[in-house]
Amino acid sequence: MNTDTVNILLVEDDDVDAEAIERAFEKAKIANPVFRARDGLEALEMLRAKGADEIARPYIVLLDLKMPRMNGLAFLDEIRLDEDLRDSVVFVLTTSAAEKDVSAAYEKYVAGYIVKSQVGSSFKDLIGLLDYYWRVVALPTAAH
Amino acid sequence: MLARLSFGSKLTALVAMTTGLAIMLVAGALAILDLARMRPKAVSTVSTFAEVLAIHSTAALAFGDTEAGVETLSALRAVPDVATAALYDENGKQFATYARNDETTIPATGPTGAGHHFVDRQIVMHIPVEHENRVLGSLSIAYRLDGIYREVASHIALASLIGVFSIGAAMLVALRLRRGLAEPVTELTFAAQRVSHTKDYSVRARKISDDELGQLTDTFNQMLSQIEQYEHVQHEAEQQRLRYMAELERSNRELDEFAYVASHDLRSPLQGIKSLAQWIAEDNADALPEKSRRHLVQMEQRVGRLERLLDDLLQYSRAGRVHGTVKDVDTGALCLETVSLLTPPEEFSVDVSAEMPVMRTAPAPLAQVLRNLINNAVKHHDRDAGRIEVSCKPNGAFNVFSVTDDGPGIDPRYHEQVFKMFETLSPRDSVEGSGMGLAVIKKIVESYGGTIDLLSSAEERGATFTFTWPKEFPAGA
Repeated sequence: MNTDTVNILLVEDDDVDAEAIERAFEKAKIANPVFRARDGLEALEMLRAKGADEIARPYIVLLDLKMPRMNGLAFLDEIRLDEDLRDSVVFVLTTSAAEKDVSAAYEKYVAGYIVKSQVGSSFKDLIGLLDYYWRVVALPTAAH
Repeated sequence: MLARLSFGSKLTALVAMTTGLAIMLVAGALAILDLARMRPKAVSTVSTFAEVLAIHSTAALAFGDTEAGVETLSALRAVPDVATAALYDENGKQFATYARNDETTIPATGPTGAGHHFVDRQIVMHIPVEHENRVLGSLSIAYRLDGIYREVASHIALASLIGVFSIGAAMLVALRLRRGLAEPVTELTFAAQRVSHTKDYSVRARKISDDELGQLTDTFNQMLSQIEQYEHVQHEAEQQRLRYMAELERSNRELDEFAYVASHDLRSPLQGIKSLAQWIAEDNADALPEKSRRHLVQMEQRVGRLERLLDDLLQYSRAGRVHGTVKDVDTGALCLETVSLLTPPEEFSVDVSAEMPVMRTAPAPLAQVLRNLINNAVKHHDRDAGRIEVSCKPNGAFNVFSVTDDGPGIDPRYHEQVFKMFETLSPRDSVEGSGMGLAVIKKIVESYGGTIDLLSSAEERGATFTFTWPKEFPAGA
């Protein structure tokens, strides 16, 4: 469905976890550009940047919940209030399987909630899911 | 009726009745005495008049002077109680008469001899009139008894009046006595009722007198003090107990939370270490010396062990708290299912007794206990083939489950140790285990009110673990 390359914004404070995902993309021979933010604030800055640093649409956000400064749920609150960013497609990728985290995330309109231990240490299932997802699902492309 | 009166009213009534009865008895006795003395007194009075009159009448009778006779009789006017009188001559013929204004009947000629008789509230006296031993005639006097009756009546009235006053005075005295006797009793009763209703042991009865009732009040108050003191001690102990309970609950909860957080948060850096070791191995497969590659493998193994330890720690913190649904469980089927999930080596046989009960319980914790026990029996077996038996028999409110193996057995001196956290009797690298299995089981079993025991001797092979499980699953659990 998507003719343009889908950009990936990985919001993850743990360098090793981030590298694990990047390695998984590499291994699966998926060449989509991966941007990395270390917390919610940095992610907001990157999404709001214009010009050369802009993360072009279509994009998908992979969001960790437990992060310093601005955590995942606070980040979701921010982008849902932001007219330009409110239609962002966000997948939560976290270690927490707590029911209250799952429901809180879906109340903020996430596209999916993925528990890290459920997709294996190599993230093989996650990569397969995302690869299939953006090939089949139409994503918002036009900026407001 | 008397039974319903208060103590004070009873006392008043008692005093009044006793006094009244005494006064009435005295008044009655006086009245009877008065009546008894009335007639002889009347007779003697009348005979005095009669004799005086007879002496004065001798001249009139001797000379047949009727006028003088009437005049003599008329002297009786001075005595109001004399109704009538008459003089008779020696032949018994009426000679002269006297009658008070209102009297009409003159007594009939009396008998010739002397004497008196009572008739119609009157005494009629008849005496001869003599002069120098010669009988000149006779005299009759009718004397009204009304005066004497009035006197007796006034005595009785006076006695009654005194009686009424006496009863009144007695009641006053009784009311004063009531203060001394009834009030302490009322006070005691009131205090006892208040203590009984309010359970307030600080209440004290007011001491009013220094007699036995006062002593009773003192004793009562002393008893209240003792109860109050005892209550205070009890209350303190209860408060202390509640404080300890709350403290214990808090520290238990903290421990559980700690175990949960530790097992959860320690996992993610561990995952990182594991990934890094993998990446080093992957990226430098050819460059690394054999020894370093082996070290990386060992590193991964240690990480795996730490992960299992964290899993077990989490399991331990949840043991007995999370039990899932409660339903009718066929424990035989549950055992077979557990065994099939464990997939023991083919050389091992697990025999589940045919007489396993069906009970209403939470299958998840029960399955966990059985799984850990059967798993232990297989894992710690020292031979390639083995036999494990699972059975169950009822005992009171519990079902007693047994898991018996024919492994090496456990020396009794280690029996206590095996149930402790992180304790294992095998070297870490020969049998993979965190040493948490039996500790988790023990915690689960004990949280449902059961016990776990180990039967095994140093000489013989084999070990039997028995644990009790409640037939009625705790309602609050």
